[in-house]
Amino acid sequence: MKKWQAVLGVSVTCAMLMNGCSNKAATSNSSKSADGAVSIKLMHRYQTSNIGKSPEDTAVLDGVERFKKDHPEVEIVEEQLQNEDYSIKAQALAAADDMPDVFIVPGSWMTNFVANGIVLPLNEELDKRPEWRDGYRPGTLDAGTRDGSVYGIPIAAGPTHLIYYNADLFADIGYDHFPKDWNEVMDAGSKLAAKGINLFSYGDKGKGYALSSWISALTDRYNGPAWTESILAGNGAAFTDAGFIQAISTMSDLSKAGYLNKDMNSVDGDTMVSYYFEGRSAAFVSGIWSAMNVVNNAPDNVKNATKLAVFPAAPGGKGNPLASSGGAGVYYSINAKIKPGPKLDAIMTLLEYMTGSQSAKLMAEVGGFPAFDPGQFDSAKLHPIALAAYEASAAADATKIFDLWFDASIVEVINTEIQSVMSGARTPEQMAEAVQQAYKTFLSKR
Amino acid sequence: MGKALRPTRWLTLLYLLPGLAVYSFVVLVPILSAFRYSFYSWTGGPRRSFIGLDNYVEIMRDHVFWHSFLNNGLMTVYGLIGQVGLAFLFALFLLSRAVRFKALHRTISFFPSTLAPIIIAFLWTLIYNYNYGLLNEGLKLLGLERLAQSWLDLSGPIVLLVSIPLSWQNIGFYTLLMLAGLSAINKEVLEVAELDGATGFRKAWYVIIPLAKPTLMVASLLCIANNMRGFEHIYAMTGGGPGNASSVMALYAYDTSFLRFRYGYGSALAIAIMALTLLIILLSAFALQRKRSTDGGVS
Repeated sequence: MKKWQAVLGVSVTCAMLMNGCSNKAATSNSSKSADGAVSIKLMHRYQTSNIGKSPEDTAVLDGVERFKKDHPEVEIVEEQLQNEDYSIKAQALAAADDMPDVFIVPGSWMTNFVANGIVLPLNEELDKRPEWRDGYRPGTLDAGTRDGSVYGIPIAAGPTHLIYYNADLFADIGYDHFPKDWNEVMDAGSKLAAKGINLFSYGDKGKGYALSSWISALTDRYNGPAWTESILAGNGAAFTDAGFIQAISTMSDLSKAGYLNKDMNSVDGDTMVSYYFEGRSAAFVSGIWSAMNVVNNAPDNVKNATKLAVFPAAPGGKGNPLASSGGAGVYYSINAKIKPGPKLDAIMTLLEYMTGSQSAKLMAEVGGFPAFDPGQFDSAKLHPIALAAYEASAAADATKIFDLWFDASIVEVINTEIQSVMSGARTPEQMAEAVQQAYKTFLSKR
Repeated sequence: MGKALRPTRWLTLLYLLPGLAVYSFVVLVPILSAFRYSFYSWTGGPRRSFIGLDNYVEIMRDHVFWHSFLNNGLMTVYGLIGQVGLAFLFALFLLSRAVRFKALHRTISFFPSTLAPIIIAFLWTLIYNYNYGLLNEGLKLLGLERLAQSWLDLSGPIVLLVSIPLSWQNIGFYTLLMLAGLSAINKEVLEVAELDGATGFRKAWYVIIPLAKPTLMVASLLCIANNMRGFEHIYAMTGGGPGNASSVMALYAYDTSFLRFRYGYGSALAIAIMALTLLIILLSAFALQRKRSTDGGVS
C-alpha cells in the first residue's frame, strides 16, 4: 500500500514539474536580447530551397535578406517550416500561448486567433505608414480584418478559380473557345468522352479543393454575393436555397455523366494536374498557383496549347458571370503580447520589406500575384500562361473564398459531404440539408 | 535473490524513477490533460470556458463518431479474420512437414511488419490506383477489365479495402507469435494424436487449437487494441473519405481538434475512444475466458 502511495506521489510530482516547466516557458517572452538590441522571432512556411521555384517564397525571403542588410542592429531568429509542419507547430504553440513574435495565419484561422487574443490589431501602426497601407489591392486585407481591425498583412492574392484548358483538344471537337454556357460544357464533355478524354481532371483527396476552386465560384454564379453576405451575417439565407443546391448539382452532373476522372476523391491536386499534362483530361480548375506549375512542368505541346477561362454564366444566375473566387489567403500576424515601441516598429518595417512594394514587384516578375499592387513591372520575361493568369487575376471581380470566411465547423461538413456527392453516395439535396444543420448549430452557439 | 543483495525500498524507487518520469511525461500527463480539457469549450488558444459534461452529451448524439466507431468495429472483425486467423493458418503450414524453405517464408511474411505504416499506405494507394494500379492491371491480364475500379473511391466496401493493407502489414507479426505459441506445444501430445489417427484438419481442430488458446487469446486482444486505435493507414490512404465512409474514431478526433479547432471536444473524443477500447477489450477478454472455462480447456 505504502509503495503504491510513493509511486503515485512520484508520478504526480513529475507531472507537476513538467507542467511547471511548460508554464514557465509560456510566460517568458523577452522583447529584447541581453545587450539591448532588438531581436525578432519569425516563424513561417517559406523555404530557401524554393527560391526561384515559387514566386511567394522568392519574394518574401528576398525581403528578409534586404531587411537584414539594411538593419544589421536587429537580430532575426527565423524558423522556416514545411507547410504541414507549420500548421501543426503553430496550432500547438497557440494552444500553449507561446507564439513567436511574427507568424503566418491562414485566413481560415483568423476568427479563432482573434477570439483567443493571439494576434495584435495593427490599425494604429498601419496608420503611421499610409503609403504602404493603401498600396494593397482592394479586398486583400478583408479576410485578415475583423470588426474593422486589421490583424494580418496579406502576402499573395489572386483567384482560387481559373480554368486551364488545352485549346488543341477543344479545337479537335469543334470548339475554338472554352464552352460559353453549361449546355456547351456538357456537349464538349460528351464529345471528349467519346474520344476517351475527361473534360476536367479533378483531385479532392485533401478535402478542400472542391470548396475553394469550384463551390465558391459556382455558388456565386447562381446566388450572387448578397447570399454569401447574408450567410455570414446570419440574416436568413440558407444552404438549402436553390442556388447552392444548383451549384452542387452542376458538379454532380459532371461526375455522373462521367466527364471527370473516376478516381476524383482519391487523388490529390498534383495528380490532377499531371492527368492534364498526360492528355487524359482537356482541362482542370485550379487557382493562380497552378500557372507556374504549367509553365515549369507541362510538356511543350500541352504548354503551348494551354489557355485560361472561368466558369460560364449560370442560367438565371444572380452573380457576375466573370467573377472568380479569390483574394488573399494567408496573412502575417504579430503576437498580441508585443507592446508599442522599438520592437514593434522594427517588426512593421520587416513586414513592409517582406510584403510591400519591392517584394510585390519581384513576386509579379517571377510569376506570382502579390496582394500589394506592384504597379508597372517587367512582364517581358513572363511566360504567356503566367501573364494571362496575372491579367485574369487583375481583371477578375473577386468573390469570397468560402473556406476563408465560413466557420471551420461548416467548412469541414461541406468538404466531407461534397466527396459523398461526387462519389454518388449522397444527393445535392441531402448535402445541403447536412450543411444547413451544421450552420444552424454554429448560429445557435454564436 | 538473497536478502543481502536486495536493494532497499527507496533504492528500488530510485531505480524506477527515470522510467517513471518518462512514462508519466509521455503517457500519464497527456491522458490526464485530455481528461481535464474534455470538460472545456476550447478553440486552441489561451481562452477556455468550463462547460461540464456538455462535450460528452454531444458525443452521445454525434452520428459521425458512432459511424466511425462502427468502422473500427468492422476493421476489428476483418483484422481478427485477416490477421489472427490467417496468421494461425500460416503458422500451421510453416510447422507442417510438407513446406520447404521455412526460413525464407518466415522472413518474407515478416517483411511488411518492418515498414512504416505511411509507406504501406502509399504502396497500397498505388496498388489500388485506377490508372496505374497493380490490381486493375491484374484484372486486365485476366480479361476481367470490366471489374477495374477506382478502388479507394468506392464508398461501399471501403472499410474492407483499407483493412487489407493493415492485415498485410501485421500478418507477419502474428505469424511469429503463433509460431512461438505452437512450438511450445508438447511434441509428444501431437505424436500421440497422430498415432490415434488425428491428422490434418482434425489434428488442428481437436488438439492444436485448444492447446494454443492462450496464444490465440493474446493475439486477438492485441489485434482488437490495434484496430480500435487505427489511424495512420486510413489517414494516408483515404483521409476518411469518400465523405465519412472510411472514417475511424482516432481520425475523427484528429480532424475535430486540428481542422475544426475544437480541442475540448477532441479531448472528450480521445477519452471516449480510450474508454470504449478498454470496455471492448474487457468484454472480449471476459468472453474468451468464459468460453475457455466452459470448454474445460487447459490454461
